[in-house]
Amino acid sequence: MTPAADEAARTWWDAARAGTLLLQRCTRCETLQQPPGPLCRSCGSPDDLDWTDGDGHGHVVAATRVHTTTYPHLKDALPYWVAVIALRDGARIVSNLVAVPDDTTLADGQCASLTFVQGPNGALPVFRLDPADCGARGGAGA
Amino acid sequence: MAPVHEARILGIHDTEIGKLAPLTTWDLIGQSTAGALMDAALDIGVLDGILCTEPMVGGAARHAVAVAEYLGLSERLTVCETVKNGGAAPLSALVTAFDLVESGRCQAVLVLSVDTVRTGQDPSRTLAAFAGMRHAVWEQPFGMTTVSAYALMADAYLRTYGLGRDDLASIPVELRRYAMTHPGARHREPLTVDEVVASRPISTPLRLLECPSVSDGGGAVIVGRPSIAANGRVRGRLLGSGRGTTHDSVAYATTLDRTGCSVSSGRALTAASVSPADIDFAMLYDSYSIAVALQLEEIGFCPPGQAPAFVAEGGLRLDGPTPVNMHGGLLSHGHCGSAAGIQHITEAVRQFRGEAVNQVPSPELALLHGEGGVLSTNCTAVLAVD
Ligand SMILES: [Zn+2]
Repeated sequence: MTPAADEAARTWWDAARAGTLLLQRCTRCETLQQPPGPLCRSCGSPDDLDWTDGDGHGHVVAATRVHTTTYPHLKDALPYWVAVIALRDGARIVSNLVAVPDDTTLADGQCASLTFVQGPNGALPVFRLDPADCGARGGAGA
Repeated sequence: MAPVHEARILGIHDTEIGKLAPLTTWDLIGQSTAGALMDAALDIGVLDGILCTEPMVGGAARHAVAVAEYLGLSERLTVCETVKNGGAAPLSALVTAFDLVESGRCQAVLVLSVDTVRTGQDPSRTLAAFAGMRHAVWEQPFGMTTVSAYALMADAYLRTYGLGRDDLASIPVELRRYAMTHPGARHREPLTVDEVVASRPISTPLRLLECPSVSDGGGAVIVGRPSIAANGRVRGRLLGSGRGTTHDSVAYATTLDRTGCSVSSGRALTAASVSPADIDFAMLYDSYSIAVALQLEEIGFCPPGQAPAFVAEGGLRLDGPTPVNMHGGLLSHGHCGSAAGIQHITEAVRQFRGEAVNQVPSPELALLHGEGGVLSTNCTAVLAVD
């Protein structure tokens, strides 16, 4: 784990590598926050943080197909997608879109759901596009 | 609070921009310091403050202090600080220099911002440095690059306003129009919207010609009490400034609809008691096409969602409502790594002096914006001719 990680990040990534998407929840103000941290960034409470399993459904707020990368180990993976997903539960997460066909034009409010791919250090939580309405709000909602 | 002393921009210097090897960051430090002092008609002994941005290449561990010893100024300096907040650093250092002189802590402050990011190190190290600017825990594992971070802002922007995927292409074209007539600009060949659209995708929707290519270069600005200068040149003064941030990384951004630019520019315009309509020209941080669109709208030069039309209709030209980056900007004049933005300041001073290549007629008020990261650090300044 990178030195930039804190305890919350270690917990999150340990779960992710084992195939679970955790979301940090503040039981005081009911905010879900991603990335997790040492306190609730909405109400400031350090004592009311809990973990919940995300249901893994959401919609794409923004996405980009990366054709040139500054990461040498990802050169063979080009092109790949990076996206901001708004989860139905309320949090947002930066992740990848996988199995996106070459000629895809993402619809506004495109639904996506959680899946895992094998990364260099274990499972990596990523998203695949859903054909059906996932119940997330429509529009770009950036 | 009323300033104790007056402060003005007394001198400026630009280095060349391009592949400057065998010149190093230290050669450019010497050139810029000497050049700005000569421009101000001042001896180096008047300097009692130095604010240096931290070079990506060739800097020292305690950079500003190393610059001070290099210039023989160590003991006489009352302020000697390295400023490191990405692309906002040169403008942020300028604002701090005004604070230092107005408060009476310094009589003359050298703002120094140079880099040799193009030829000073192997390109693979520069690429790694840019990759390292994304969040190590929440962005790098997903391969987010700096261009991708801006691309996500661009994708959200185009979707929110129902704009076309090619609609940002006029931005680099309009900046190139200025660079074509500027002998100091790095990229001077003609450029069309079709060429931008046809250039290869880097991270969709952003294409090669919507992204900067890095150069070596930089410059310096001296801010001091007008009483110490005798050359009588037109000098800029600071009317108001603001800093602001809404996020550092995309992973922590709670919205992509609004950035710290709206915060910093709102504070600066309020402090200066002016509105965007009062501004005669703007120097915006055009690190990518999308950055210009967001800044135009968040500062209030055009309504939300209308930046592409505003630009395509000539809004940034000398005869338009808001001339922008008349030297060609980072996209065409040149992007000097950590020094990007210093030549926005020197260009603004040339405009005030009436000595610019692409001269705005008799400008009185300028707005400058610098941003670092992905509109993460933001600094806005309103300067007035004097
Ligand atoms: Zn809370």
